[in-house]
Amino acid sequence: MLKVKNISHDFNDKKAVIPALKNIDFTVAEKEFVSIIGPSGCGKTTLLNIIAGYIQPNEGHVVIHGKSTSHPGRDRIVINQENDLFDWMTVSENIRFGIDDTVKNIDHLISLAHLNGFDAAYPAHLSGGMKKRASLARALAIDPRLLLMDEPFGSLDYQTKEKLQIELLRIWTETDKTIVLITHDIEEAIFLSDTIIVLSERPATIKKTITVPFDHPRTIGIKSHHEFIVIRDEVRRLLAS
Amino acid sequence: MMYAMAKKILVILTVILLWQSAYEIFPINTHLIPPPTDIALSFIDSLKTGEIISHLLTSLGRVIIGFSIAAIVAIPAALLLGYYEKINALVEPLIEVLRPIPPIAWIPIAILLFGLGNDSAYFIIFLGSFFPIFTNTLFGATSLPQIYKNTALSFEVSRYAFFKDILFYFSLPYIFTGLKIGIGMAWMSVIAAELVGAQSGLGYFIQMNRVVSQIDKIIVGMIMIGIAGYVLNTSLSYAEKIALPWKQK
Repeated sequence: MLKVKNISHDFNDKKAVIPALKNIDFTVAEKEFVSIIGPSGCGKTTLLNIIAGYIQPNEGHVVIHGKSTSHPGRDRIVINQENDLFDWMTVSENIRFGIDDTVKNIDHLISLAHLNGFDAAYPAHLSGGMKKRASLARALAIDPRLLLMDEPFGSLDYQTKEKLQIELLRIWTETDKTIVLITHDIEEAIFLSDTIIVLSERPATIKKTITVPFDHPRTIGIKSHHEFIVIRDEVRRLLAS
Repeated sequence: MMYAMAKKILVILTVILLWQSAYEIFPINTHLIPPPTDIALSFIDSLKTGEIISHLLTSLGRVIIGFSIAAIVAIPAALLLGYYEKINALVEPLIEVLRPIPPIAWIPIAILLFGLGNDSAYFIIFLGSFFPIFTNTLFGATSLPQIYKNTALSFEVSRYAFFKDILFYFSLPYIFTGLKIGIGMAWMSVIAAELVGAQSGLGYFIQMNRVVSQIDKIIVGMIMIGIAGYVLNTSLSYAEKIALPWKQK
């Protein structure tokens, strides 16, 4: 459903041209969960911003469902690491944000995101994990085909993070979305995805594409599985070299 | 809460008491600086005749009109300029040259343009409150985080919805900062305008009593100016609390 075709991108600083991405080329299938992992500062977020349509690449293009696209749109919604909820809207107003229909029932989204009882709360009164779930519910409300997640759990503590990873997998199977996740967390990438794309240092190139052999639904137990550890060590080596 | 209030009132009473007792210790000319008792009597007198109330209402009316026009012009203008950065860059130098001119420096031109009376006062109040409201709103609108702009792009919201649901609400706390500074400026401006360019209002009231050397009445007028300014500020702070529920704990 998503084709990233030979994308290269440079940043123009005042003094110099900084190459960020070089010949990035990959395909994501319908309902696939793909993680992009790479050393920090390698250009992962730039790549996500290009897929989202916020940045136009110097070379190459993004194809969604056979159509070349260069503008952001409702078919692909980004969930950020920072809080991206509107502070002045309650949880339910945030979830309704993209919906034109003012009477549409959003109860199923509230319960899907485990936010029951928090409809009228403002984001400032939510925990970090709840904010992420509300953000996810807001994205799901407009039923995009693709979810783009930019280190969504990066700022959360370990326990919250693990809980949200399990919930994300549950929501993903229940809603049939395609997900592209940017992360620097190796275990998160293996636990969640079907495919892992490992990027190199800047300018980022694709070092390796790894297929994760575990079936869904997955449990946290796979993290101690032999194959899991083999992949983890391989990704670690790739990132270090 | 009650205790805190009582302490504040005690401070005021102490100052009044010290002022009154100063006359017992020092040979102060009570005609030059009247004691609190004289002022209190004069205050009651002014209230009885309704004189000061009518001047107060005149000044308040002018402030409400001038300030409202300033808010109605400044807020949308600043939001638009915050959105259209290129136009903002063009008009910024003009604003920055006009902004430091104090409202009272506009009084001569206001009198020439509008004569003595309400219109000059509206003009001076407008100028006094416009800039704080405008610059604070503009600061808010230009500090809208990229993440919200991107979210709006992805959700394909209309330009109208972007202004109404995102830019306006994001800027609202900044708008209130501007309004609070603006109402103070408006109140100072109306008094200044009435001192020289009006035939009514609290500014005129104290000026007229200077001419007839009624110092007690001048002080009564000044106290009224202080109280009314305080009430205006407090009302806006109260309105702010209601308008920004997401900022409350």
